Amino acid sequence: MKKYLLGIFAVVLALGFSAFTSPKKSAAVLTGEKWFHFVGDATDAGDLANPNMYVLDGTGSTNTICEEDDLDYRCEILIKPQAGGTKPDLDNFDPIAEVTRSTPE
Amino acid sequence: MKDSGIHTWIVEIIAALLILLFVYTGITKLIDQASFRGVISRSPLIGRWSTFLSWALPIVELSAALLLFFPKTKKQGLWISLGLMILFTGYIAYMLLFSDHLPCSCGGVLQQLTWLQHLVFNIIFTFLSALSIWFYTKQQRFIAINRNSRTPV
Repeated sequence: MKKYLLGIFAVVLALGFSAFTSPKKSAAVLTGEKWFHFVGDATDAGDLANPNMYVLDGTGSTNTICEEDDLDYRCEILIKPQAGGTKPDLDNFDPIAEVTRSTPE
Repeated sequence: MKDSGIHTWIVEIIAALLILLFVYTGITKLIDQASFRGVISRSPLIGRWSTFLSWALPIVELSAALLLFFPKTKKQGLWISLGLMILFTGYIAYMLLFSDHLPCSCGGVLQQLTWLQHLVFNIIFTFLSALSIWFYTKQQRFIAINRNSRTPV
């Protein structure tokens, strides 16, 4: 039993950690997400939460405007759209991917 | 004898760390399987196998953890861990060097790391896996020598 002690401790710790890692709200969404370009001020929480501050990037199938590069400000998001498909459904889903830029707008 | 005891402890601690890593990342990948698949599907290198990998990777990680858990299969577990860590490190290094699109497909809190931090993290775990295999082999050799030297009078 003694030789299993560290292993048991590691498993318990891992299960504990993963219990506190909640899946993304959008995890259930497998299809239908689109890329939206953020055109507001990325330092303004109101703009970030406002669907009208986003425009569909082309057909929404790929991100064509921004580079993903671990920068500070939101540029594009991949998210399930609202009915109609031209605005992101920010109320019901989190973006499942985000690309950023170095300036807020 | 003293060295062998220290080596045993080092192997046990590294194996426990690897179990912690693989159980945690394996489970979080399975819990969040849909988004994990979505993220790797956008990887230019492995995107075409996203459905297969989104199941295979967490299963292999959990299997490695299971092998590491039992003393009889620890050696196999350490080799699989080393193989996995080399693959993960190689993938991240390749993506950093050759890809301009970097989707993060890691599990749980590891997603908070930047790609460079992730590379360093993986290199450390690759080194630890290799170290534990080396100590494990030394320890087994020590046991074998001791067993052979006990000749009947």
